[in-house]
Amino acid sequence: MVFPFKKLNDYEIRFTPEQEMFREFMREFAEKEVAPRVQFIEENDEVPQDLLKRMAELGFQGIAVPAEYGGQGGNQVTVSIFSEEIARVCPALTALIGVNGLFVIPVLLFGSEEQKRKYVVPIAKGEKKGAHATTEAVAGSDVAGIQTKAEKVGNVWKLNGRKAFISGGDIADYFVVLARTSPPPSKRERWKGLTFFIVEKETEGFHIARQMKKIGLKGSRIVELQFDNVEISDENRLGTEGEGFKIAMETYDHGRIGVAAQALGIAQALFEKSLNYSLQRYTFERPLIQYQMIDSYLADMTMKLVSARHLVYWAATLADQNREEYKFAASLAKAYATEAAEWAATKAINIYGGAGVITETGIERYLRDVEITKVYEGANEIQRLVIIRQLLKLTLGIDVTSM
Amino acid sequence: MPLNIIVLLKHIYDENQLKVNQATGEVSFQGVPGKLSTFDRNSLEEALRLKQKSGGSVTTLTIGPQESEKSIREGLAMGADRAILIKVPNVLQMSANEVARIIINQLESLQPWHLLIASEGGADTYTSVLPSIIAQKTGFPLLSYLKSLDILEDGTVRGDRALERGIVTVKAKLPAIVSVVSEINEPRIPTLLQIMASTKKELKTIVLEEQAREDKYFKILSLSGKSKERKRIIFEGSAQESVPKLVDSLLKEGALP
Repeated sequence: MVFPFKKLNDYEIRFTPEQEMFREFMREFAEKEVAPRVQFIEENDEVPQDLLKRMAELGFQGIAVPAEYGGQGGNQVTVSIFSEEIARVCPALTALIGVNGLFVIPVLLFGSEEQKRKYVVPIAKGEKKGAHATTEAVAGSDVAGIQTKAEKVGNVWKLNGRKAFISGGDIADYFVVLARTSPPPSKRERWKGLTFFIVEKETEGFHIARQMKKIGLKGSRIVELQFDNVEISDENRLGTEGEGFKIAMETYDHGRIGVAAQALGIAQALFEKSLNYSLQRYTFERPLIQYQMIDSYLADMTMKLVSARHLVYWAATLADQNREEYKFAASLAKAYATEAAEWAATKAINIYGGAGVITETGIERYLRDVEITKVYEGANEIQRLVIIRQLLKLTLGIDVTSM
Repeated sequence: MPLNIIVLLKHIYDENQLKVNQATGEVSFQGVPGKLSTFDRNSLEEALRLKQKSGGSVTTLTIGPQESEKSIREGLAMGADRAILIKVPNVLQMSANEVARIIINQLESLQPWHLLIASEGGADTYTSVLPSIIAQKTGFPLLSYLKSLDILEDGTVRGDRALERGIVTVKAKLPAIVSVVSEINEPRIPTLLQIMASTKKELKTIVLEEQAREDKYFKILSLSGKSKERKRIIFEGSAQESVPKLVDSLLKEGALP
């Protein structure tokens, strides 16, 4: 009955009164301080400086960072609460704040004490911003396929290559950058020989090549980064040489839950809006809610929304308990919640009709915003691979790739 | 000078989620979530700002059921130093006189205090009489409906009263009782760190042994919801034609002086 888990309690989710209070304040912040700015953000593809500053001051960049490193001492559940509530109003802000996490998580997990003090503290306190540079035009989910290289010359690494789709790269002060430091020993071991480095934005030879245009998540811009003989001291190597692949995977396992929560916020917004609209909008002299097909959409939206919420907070709970199974749960939550949100967006447009595709109602924005959630932090197709591989590993101890 | 400030916090039924039986006007509290009375967040915010400037302490005082703890914790998260809950089962059925009497009894144990801050009214019943009753019974000066507030060096409090027909600047010696209107400030949002730290702050619960006293001046006979129908009159035509009609109509209603 409980397979692939062992007991009923493995499915337990519990929230503390403090988490509920945090949720209520995040709701208030999003409604009062973000909602009035959404139109501006959308039209200008830019988040106003004062809003960025305010979020930094409220500690949003360091929610899961321990207090000793300037953070808020939260966990994966609180990060998910934050992501959901902010995304409900403005999914782009969740992404923009979330990328700091993609810098902070690997440094906290694998960095030296000096690196944590120097780079995590100012980001968690909101004084600096971080970004994560793994993806290239030729390699996304296939992390081992990256082409950027780092070569050791004396005590210095020389970085050469180009990174693409880097969220928040235009405003970040610090980057974690993945590079190949030695050729893969064999085709089966492509993941070996990758190493992370911490790069500061002012470093010579490093520059932002261009901003990439995209649909969705306006305000959270993506850029290409160019590295031309960028010299990085060995002190800025993150983790041991060759450990890069492992660091990347661990980072995305955490980040994945945040993306799932972001999609959950989108689904929540669409559900609320669709329900409201169905009550208010009359056609053929009856409110939409009296039509069975509309109710069918709304009921399915509710099912998916509630299921997604359970998956997201369950995965977060397992992560906070340091359970190995959290990766499996995170993949379930990410694939499910992002697709549920996309489905909700298309059905919300059906319910709204023409009003759903004009920009004023804000419905089409959620559809544009949700698309990338199916892709980043590991495409949903990859998640499905992970789900089965993790399942077999956890339950039977089988490594599918070596069968 | 360091200020010891007392802030009155009330835990209320979320007024936006009350269900009213349209036929009978009966209000149902069943399943209605509780929350910190909206305007009380302004009084707490003002206390916290004063404390940031002058030092001292902020103590919140609540009369209500055990569920009030949710709102009290919110106050502690925002920055109050400690909180007192005086437990009574049904504060909605208590007269303001009775609530005032309980607060006054408590004030003695909070000596020395300099300022008692209340909001312009509870977001539920909005009787707005509590600060006046406390002031009248204790003899402390009352500065009500302040939209700004300063503590001067000579140990006085000065503020601008926001009245319907203007602003009146008033001043009084501390200790004093003030009530503030919601425009006085924008209440803060605490960080996660502050929320978590608040669980370690002191919340003292006092259970009143005595029965609530009968109030010979004031009695709540019923609580009911009244719905007001809007008139929904549309004045058509150009501005030249429609505006005089609108003015006529407003004059007839007595809505214009």
